[in-house]
Amino acid sequence: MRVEVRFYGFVRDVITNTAFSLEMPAGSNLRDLLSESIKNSSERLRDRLFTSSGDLEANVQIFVGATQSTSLEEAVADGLESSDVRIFVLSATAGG
Amino acid sequence: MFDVARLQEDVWIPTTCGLCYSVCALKVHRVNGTVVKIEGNPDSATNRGRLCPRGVSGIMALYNPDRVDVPLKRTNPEKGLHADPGWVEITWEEALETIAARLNKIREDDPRKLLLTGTVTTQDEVPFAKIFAMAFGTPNGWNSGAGNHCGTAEHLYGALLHASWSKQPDPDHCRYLLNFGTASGFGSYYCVTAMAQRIGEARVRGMRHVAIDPFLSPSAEKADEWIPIVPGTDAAFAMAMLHVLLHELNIYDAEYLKHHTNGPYLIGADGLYLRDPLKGVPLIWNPVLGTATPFDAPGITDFALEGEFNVNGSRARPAFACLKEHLTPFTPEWAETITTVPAATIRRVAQEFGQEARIGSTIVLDGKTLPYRPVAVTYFKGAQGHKNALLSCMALELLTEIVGASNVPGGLLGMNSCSLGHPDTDRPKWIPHAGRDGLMVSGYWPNPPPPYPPKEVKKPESIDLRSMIPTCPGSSGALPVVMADPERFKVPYKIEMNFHVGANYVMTFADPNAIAETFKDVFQASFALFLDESTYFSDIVVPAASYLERLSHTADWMSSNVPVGEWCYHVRQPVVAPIAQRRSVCEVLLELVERLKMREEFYALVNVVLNLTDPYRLDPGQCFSWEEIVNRRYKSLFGEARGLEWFKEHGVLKWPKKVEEVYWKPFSHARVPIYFEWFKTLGTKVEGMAQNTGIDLDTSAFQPLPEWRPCRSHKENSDGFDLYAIYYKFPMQTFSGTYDNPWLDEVCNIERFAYGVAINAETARRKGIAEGDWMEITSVSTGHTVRGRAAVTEGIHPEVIAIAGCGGHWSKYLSVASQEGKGVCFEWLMPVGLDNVDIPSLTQDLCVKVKVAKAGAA
Repeated sequence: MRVEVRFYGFVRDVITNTAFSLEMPAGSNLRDLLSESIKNSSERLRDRLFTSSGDLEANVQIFVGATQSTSLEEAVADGLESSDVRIFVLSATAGG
Repeated sequence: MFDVARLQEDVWIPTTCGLCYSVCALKVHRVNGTVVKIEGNPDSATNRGRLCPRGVSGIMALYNPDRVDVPLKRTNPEKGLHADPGWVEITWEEALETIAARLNKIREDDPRKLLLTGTVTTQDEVPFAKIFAMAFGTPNGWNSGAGNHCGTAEHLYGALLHASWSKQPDPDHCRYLLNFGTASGFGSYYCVTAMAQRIGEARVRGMRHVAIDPFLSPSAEKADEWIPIVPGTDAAFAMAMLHVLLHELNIYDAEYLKHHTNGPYLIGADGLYLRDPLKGVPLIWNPVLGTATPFDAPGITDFALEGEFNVNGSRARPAFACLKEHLTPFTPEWAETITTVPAATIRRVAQEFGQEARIGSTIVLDGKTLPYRPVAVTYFKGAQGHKNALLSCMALELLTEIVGASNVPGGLLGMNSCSLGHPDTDRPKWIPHAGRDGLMVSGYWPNPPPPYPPKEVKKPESIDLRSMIPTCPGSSGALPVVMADPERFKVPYKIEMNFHVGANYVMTFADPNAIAETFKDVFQASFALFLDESTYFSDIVVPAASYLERLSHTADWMSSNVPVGEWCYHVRQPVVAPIAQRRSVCEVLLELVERLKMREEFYALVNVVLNLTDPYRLDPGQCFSWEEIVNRRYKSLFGEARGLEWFKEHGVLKWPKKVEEVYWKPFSHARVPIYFEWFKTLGTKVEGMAQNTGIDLDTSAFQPLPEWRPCRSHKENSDGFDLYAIYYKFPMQTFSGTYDNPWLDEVCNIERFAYGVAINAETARRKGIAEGDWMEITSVSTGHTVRGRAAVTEGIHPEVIAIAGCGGHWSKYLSVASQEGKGVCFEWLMPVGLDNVDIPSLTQDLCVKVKVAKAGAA
């Protein structure tokens, strides 16, 4: 399955290409996809996306198509030949 | 004589004020294209037709001849606090091309080298600029309120206890307001005009207001009782009250503590939760069964709050018992030696507060029976702006929690913690919910993610240290320290450009010399209303449209609505076209997005951050105007029929708040901490990270229970430095941004505290100082001396002088504000450095020891 991956936000310092395609085995979930993305780009991306215990950082939001995912165990796509996954790394610039 | 025949236009236009973060609704009277009057909009439930002096004076901000009207570039390469930039006019094209070229270069190199600075009077523009910064790829931002304005630690507890950025007493039902040095409901803070009216009504209804404040401030002077206190010692007062409530009066809301806090969670000898070995969740002691059980186990009918229990061989006590024992030594007599408040006064106030809490009583609202706890504790920068901010705020907050007055009728309310949305669309919607360990997670937070659950401690990624210290909820007091010396903090880059949206950071943090050193080598592009002190460091200045000349996507935000009554969503629209070459910052941002070829990324982030829904999401295949984006924002929230045109015509959309929105706590399963267990574990991680990265940080304040700790000023007793200097917000001015307004200047000229320095009558007599004398005020911390006229009064603690607002401008381009005698710049007295910052919240301390002497005539 072809997955179009795109990163947004506070990631440009850790990855050169913020948009790329990955070929993922059927049944892959978002955790698999992010692991593959890290392999394809930079180990520094792992630290930006995950806690040391492997949970997604609270400022990271993932959308599969137009739907926001709530778990890394969700499938990258259900029964489709291709998918579009967008990962947003939000940064809390400034305060009140 | 008025010529009727010349009258071609006479309209009143609805919009919102932008002179502070309260967002009062306006009706602006425009005659023949000229704004002639600004009034409050009676259609809005927010300010109900009233305005403060600033709101009325906005007309002078619009037409002030000191406004920046054309793009400028500096010709003097030397930057300094008094180095005239040598401005020359350039075209918008040259300005934007220069800015875009610099941005492009930085983005290619390392986007983290960009800093965004903003302030509250650009509250509608900064959120959009934040999206720009996110899309650009930088984590670095700073609101200039971080020094003397921002609530910082107060906001943290807003998130942890109230699911909100800020809090207010319930104006409809509160009967006893204990106000630790804030002007909430009286002259500043959030919803200023709105809450001033409602607190006035509450006072007529019989609410007692007790002000604990070093100075008989504009809010304290309206109290039933004023209790002068040494600055930075509010926590000692609060802890002594807690001692009296728990140890002498036995007053606490057991039912609330059992069901809505972590008071029953068992704490082991290591100070951490005892956890269920299978589920990993905290245990409580079930007194009915005589066993420890997970806090969320079904069928629990009672929770032990006191006692000591044996759990699998370990001794454990409920968190409430730990708190109670912890408070044992902190008697009113102990507090008297620190605060100078007589022990009998503290004891009496505790008794009044405890009795008025009416624990056990209920009230029926909209058919629902709810706890009735008509007491509230308020505080903001005054009580929390100290070296001991985290632990001080904890003590103050626990007063409300112990008596169960949190987010129930009569008590302390989060400012719109829960929104179930407009009846037609169910939007905007946010609801506090239970997260890790059953503790409450805010449904909404202006700077995502909310502070709880805390982000993992990581090495410094941004120049505010927030990645290493995730308990800092907003603007960081560490930023100028780290920015000045990033290598020391292992930040692998230096800030090269400041994208500067209206913040006068030179005058709103601390020692301007230190701030100047930090910013002087940074390329600065400023969107400015005025050529204030911070624009002396600009390379390019472009003329920004004021709130009366611009359209906004987000006039309203979480804390701009009164916590009770009706929801109100407003429009901020231009009431006149931008004068001269002024332009809306948001429109310029969209142009920069195109020049930087960032449209796809920027639109994607706009869709996410503004939570735009189909069919209103931005498609990067199209280029959208600012008007269309605002239109889509409104439609996405309120449906197709209520787009921008609807709001332009009607000005405000309102609907009643539900009981379960305003008084959400009884309806929620989420608990809040009275024992901040995770502070302890987080502190250990911060300490470890600091050691690993070679940063010297005092992490000892990461504690689960409150403490009073002295500030630097309490320990600096050099010869002659015998007074504390404090700063307070003044209702006639907003920070440093309004001092050039001639109408406000007129008001301030007839109010002796506005530009003067309050000093106690006996202290003044002892120093040979009389009313109106010039005084020289020298800081023990910075060595700087400022001059101010004495405003002699009995209404200030004898060990304190009080300075209002952010006057004392010196920019040669501010013809009113920079005249002699227009207030004092407090920042000259305050040092910049981590030893002056509360590490867990990164709050800047705001009290300083000074020497005061009579000066010669100016």
